[in-house]
Formats: sequence, C-alpha cells, structure tokens
Amino acid sequence: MRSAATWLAHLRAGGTTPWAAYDGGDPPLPLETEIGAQQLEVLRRLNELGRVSPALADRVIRADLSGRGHGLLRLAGDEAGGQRRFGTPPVDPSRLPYDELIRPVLTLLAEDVAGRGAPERPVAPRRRRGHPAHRLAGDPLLVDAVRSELDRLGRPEGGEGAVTYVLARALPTMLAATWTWRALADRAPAWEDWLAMLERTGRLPAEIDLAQQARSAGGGMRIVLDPALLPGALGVDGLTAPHDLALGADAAELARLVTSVVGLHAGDASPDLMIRGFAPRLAGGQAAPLAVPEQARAWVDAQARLLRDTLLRGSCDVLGEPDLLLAPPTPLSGRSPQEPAVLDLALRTLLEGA
Amino acid sequence: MARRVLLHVGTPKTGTTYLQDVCFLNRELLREHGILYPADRFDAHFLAALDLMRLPWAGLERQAVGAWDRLAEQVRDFDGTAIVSHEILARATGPQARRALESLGHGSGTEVHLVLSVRDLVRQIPAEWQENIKHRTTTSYADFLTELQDPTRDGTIASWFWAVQEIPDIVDRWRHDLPASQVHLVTVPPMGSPRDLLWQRFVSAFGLGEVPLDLGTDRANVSLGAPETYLVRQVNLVSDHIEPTDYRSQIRELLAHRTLSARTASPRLALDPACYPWVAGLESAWVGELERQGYDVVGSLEELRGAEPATYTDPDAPDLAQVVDAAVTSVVALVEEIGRRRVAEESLHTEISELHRQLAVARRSPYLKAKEAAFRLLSSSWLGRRLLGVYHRARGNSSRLA
Repeated sequence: MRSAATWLAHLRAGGTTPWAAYDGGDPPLPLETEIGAQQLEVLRRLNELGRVSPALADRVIRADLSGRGHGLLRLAGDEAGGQRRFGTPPVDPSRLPYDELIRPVLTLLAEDVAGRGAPERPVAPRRRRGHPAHRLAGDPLLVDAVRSELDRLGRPEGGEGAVTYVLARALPTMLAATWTWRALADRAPAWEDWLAMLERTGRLPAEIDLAQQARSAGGGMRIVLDPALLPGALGVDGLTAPHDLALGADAAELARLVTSVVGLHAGDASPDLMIRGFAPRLAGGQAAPLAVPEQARAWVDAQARLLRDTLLRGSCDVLGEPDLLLAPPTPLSGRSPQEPAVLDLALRTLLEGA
Repeated sequence: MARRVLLHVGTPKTGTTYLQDVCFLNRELLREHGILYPADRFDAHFLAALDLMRLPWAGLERQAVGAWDRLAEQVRDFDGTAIVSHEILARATGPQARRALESLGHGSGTEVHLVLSVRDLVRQIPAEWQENIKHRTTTSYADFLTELQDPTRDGTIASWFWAVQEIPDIVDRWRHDLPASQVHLVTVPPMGSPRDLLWQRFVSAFGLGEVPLDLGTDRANVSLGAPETYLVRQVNLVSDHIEPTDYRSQIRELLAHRTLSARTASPRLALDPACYPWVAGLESAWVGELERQGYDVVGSLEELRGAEPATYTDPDAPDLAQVVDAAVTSVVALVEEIGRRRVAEESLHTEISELHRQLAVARRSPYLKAKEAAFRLLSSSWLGRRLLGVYHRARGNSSRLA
C-alpha cells in the first residue's frame, strides 16, 4: 500500500525515495500519529544527508511547524488517506516550498538551542583604579568581541568620565554585522528587506550612525577605524585583534529564523542562548560572507562617503583613516542569503547536533 | 480534576474578545458560581494558545513559555466547570488539539465540550482582511481575495485564513473522539438582529445564565470603514521600521481602535459582489456538512449563509476626500497624544529636578560626606570590603558591594 504510514516506515529505515516515486510497502500500517508532508519530506532529505538516529527521526515526525503557514499537509495519492472535502488539498512533498520545509527544522533547532544552553558569560572583573575609564559602542559584533577581550584582561567598561570608543569599519561590513547581531539578539527583517527599509527611511542603524553619535556625544568620544590603534588608546598591551562571530550569509539567515521562534522555548534567555550558544556552532568555515546586494550598493556607498566626509570635517577624534569607512574597491565575494543553502545548512546543523 | 471544560477554539471576528473580557473581569464572581476562568492577565489564554501551537507573535511569545501547561494545570486542579477561550486556537493541528484535550482532562474523567462561534463568510472575509491590515499587512483587498481563491492556499494570508475560518475542518482537527453532542456551534446573528442576541447565545452555550455578570467592558473588537482601512494600509506601507510595541500602541490602538473606528459614517467594508457566488457555494457546502454531523447549534446554521451585500465600496480605491478627512482626524489625534505626553514629560522633569535638589541638599550634609569617604576607603581594600559586608548584614541590608 502507498500510504503515509508505509512511506514513513521506509523513511525510518533510512529510505530516500521521494513520495512521487515510492511504490508502496507491506503490510498496510496504521499511522502512529498524524504527520504532515512537511515532516516526512524533511526526514527524507535528512536521510539523503546522513544517518538519522531513531531518536531524531522521532523528533522530526512529531515536530510542531513553527510560525505561520499550512497546517499538517496530506500526501497526494495516499491510498489510506480517504476522501476529505475540507482542509488544504493534499500535496506532493517534493514540491513543497522552502518556507514550509524549514518550519519543522526551525522548531527542532530552537528546542536544541533552549535545551543545550550556552557557556556562562564570564563575570566582568572589578574595575581597577588607575586605568582610564572607557565605554564601547559601534559595530555590535566588534563591540562584543572587544568587550570580552577587555574583560579577560581585567579592563571592564565603566567608570567616571569614561571615554566612549565607537568601534567602526567599512560601512557594508558594519551593516552586515549589525543585521547579524539583530538577527541573533532580536527579531529582524530579511537582509535585503532591511536594507531597503534603511534606504527608504534614509537612516543608518543607530549603533553605526557615526555622524549622529558624534553629534549627540559632544566630547568624550573617539571613533576607532583602525583596530591596531585601540590598545594604545586604552593603554592595554595584550589586546589582540578582535575576532568577531562573522557568520556567513546563510548562517546569519538561519540564525534569524531560529531567533524568530526560539522565544517560545527559551523566553527572555533567547538572545544569550543564540549569541553564546547557537552562533558559535554556525561560525567559521568557508561560507560566503554576507554582503550588500547590487541594488543597495549605490545607497550604501553614498552613506559611507557622507560618513567619511562628516568625520573629516568634524571635531570628533578618529583613530584611523576615515577612508576605511568606504567599501573595498573590488567587489566582495559575499552575497545575500539563498533559500536552498539556508535549508541545507539547517538540515546539516540539525543532523550534526543530534 | 475539572468536571467539565468548555473549550472555545474560535473563530476570530465572532465577538470572542467581548466574551473573554467579560469572563476576565468577572473571574472572581464566576469562581463563586463554580466556574473557573483561569487567567491572571487578560491575555492569559492568548499566551497559552501561542505556547500550545508554537506560534511566534511579534515577540510576545517570549512571555508564553509554559503558558499552556500552567493553564491546563489550573483547570485540572479545579473542581467544577472551566472555561478556556481563544479564537486563534482554531488554527491548531490535530496533534496539538489532541494534546490540549488530554491536558485538560479529556480521557481522564473530564467532560470536554468544544465551542466554536461562527459567522458567515460574506462578513468574515472583509473582517479578516481588516484584521490583517491592523496587524501590519500591506496586501490590497483585491490581492487578498485572489489569494483566498487560490485552491493551493499557499501564502501566509490564505493558509492562516482557512486554518481559522474553515469551520468543518476546524471541528475535524479539534473533535477527535468527542461525541457530536459535545460540539457546540454558536452562530453570529445576521445584521439587524437585536444587539445582545449574540451575547445571549454565548450565555446559553457557556451556562452563564445564573451569574449576575458585570458586562461593563469596552474592549470589543472594533471595525473600520473602507477609507479608514485604506489609510491604515498606506501607513503600513511606509512604517515597517516602527517597533512592534509602538505600532501596537500608536497605530493599532490610538489610530485604528480609538480614532478611526469612531468614524462610523464612512462606507463599510463588504465582500466584493464578484466573489459572492463563490462564497455562497462554500457556505452551502459547510452548512450541509455541519448539519450532517449533527452538532449542537446555538442559533441557526442558516445564519451561515450570508446575504449579498447591498452596497460595495472598493477599499483599494475609496473616495480620496474621505481618506484625507480620516487622515486629518488622525493627525489631530496624534497631536493630542503628543500633547498628553508632553504634559507627562514636563511633570516628570519637574519631579526629577526636585529629586536632584533634594539629593544636592543631602550631599551637602557633613555626615553623608563622611559616610561616603568611609565607604570609598573601605571599598578599596579586601579587609574593608569584609567589614562593610558585616555592617550590611548587621543592618539587615541585603545590598552587596558592586
């Protein structure tokens, strides 16, 4: 019989035959629980990528479908399915769109994020007297990396008369870093939608709007464009070049999608779990970096030139050449996230974490 | 273990907000009458529904972790009748519905009744589009109608709409092994019916007749006219950078609910007459199926056959003079709101200045100066910090050194 139950048995045994090519199995089986075409197709694709443990297979077929979209979809041609006059028409699972297939995977990844926890955030040491007080602002990935490093060296932020060091770099990279940070820490729109929104409103994100920060800070602020000058400015010998999370384009998008549902599992602990628990799992490798797409390039370049000119004109103390704000002259190898690659990464991350 | 649970799972746009508000406001009184409405905040059942269905909702879901289990536990611990109500539960999948029923005691001795309040599609379709607009959607009415008619139901709007509005399918997902006599359909009366008829039906379905309820709530969902909905849609098209909290409070609450809904003279939203034959066909099929199943009906299934609208104004192309009028009203409302906030801000500034003054006076005190100097001195050494710790403990002060 060609039914969801017999196909499930095939998939549980590691089978990879698509539903459309599946010619049935014996004997007729009752379906253990109501399962959607979404979960079944995800299990099939996981089988294509590697060995799926029985425990993971169980989790997949029982996974809730995160977020909005269809309910559990029935299989077209399920001989045990019977005729139903209502509900969404049955589907061929191999034709399910990306949005539907990724939903059960996101649920499982979010459960993993909540279940695994994150490394304890190191306790910031007491600030010692005698060192110039400082605060950090700017590119959120750089800030996070430098803050950790300074804490490690016994130089936490704060103190009376603290000078604010605004960490900055090429604007396209800062935009990618800001979006990546927001994708991890809060809800964020898709990368290209976000850039389009910035362009329409004519505003840079507050964290990296250096011109606005310089205007509102008055004195007591230094913009750091050359990271090599930061140790000297802070009087810290051992400060190495910051190593930020720098997720690839697809990893950042996957993080954004998991962030959108992890709150259901982890509540207010979500940002910390995503930044310290999940992001390091996605970081590294040879993945294509996130880059500003062609359609937003002109606006971003114009903003970068405006910022540079503002810094050149202004009274703000800048460590490094303002030209560092401009994008490198040659196009980056990066790109925007791509849906098939994001789904593939999601499946592999799930499989590796099981 | 609750003896009886009335589980109200939808549908949206059928007076559910009013019912939930009355239950919440009267929860103590209901309890005195042996009826539990388990909620410590007005949206407790909404959060429980998000948790049950794993549904993110603009960040609110972070407050929902474990909410369904907590609600179900309260129901199980109560000896009497419990009411659980939220319209988005209509969207639950079969396994989620089964989990909900079992967690409320179904199969363990509790008699669970499924309640569905329902309204004809002729009114539900424009009402749902308006609800989408009030939740930041930018889809035009024409595109909305086209998406609903796509048989694949692909797309966020169509999949949600049918999940929460296709009555036979909702009951099918929720019913499991409940007998038809424990499935209750409360129909929304047609236009022109007595104002409190729907409420009387709710009272009947939920067995509230013996409770002298305070009905004083004004949080019923309100509706907008065609030009007003058009205006909110235009706002949505250029406001995606506005934070959800600000959207909720300023656009949905202040503009849509408190300002634009008061403009009742403008043309109302209605079903596009071109869609009427399609909708009437669906309604007939639904009524036939619901009759066949033999559920308990409070009202009449015939009320699910909506009347063809007498008039129609295209909400994608309303009279622009009416839109401008609505926009002017909105600007005035926003300026008034800014004025209220300015007054509040000035009052806070005055308060802060007074606190600063009091602080400055206190700081001039020689006693306080000596105390601060001693604190700084002690804080700078290990022994001093230990002594401060002993002092704080002796005073019963739980604060610790920074």
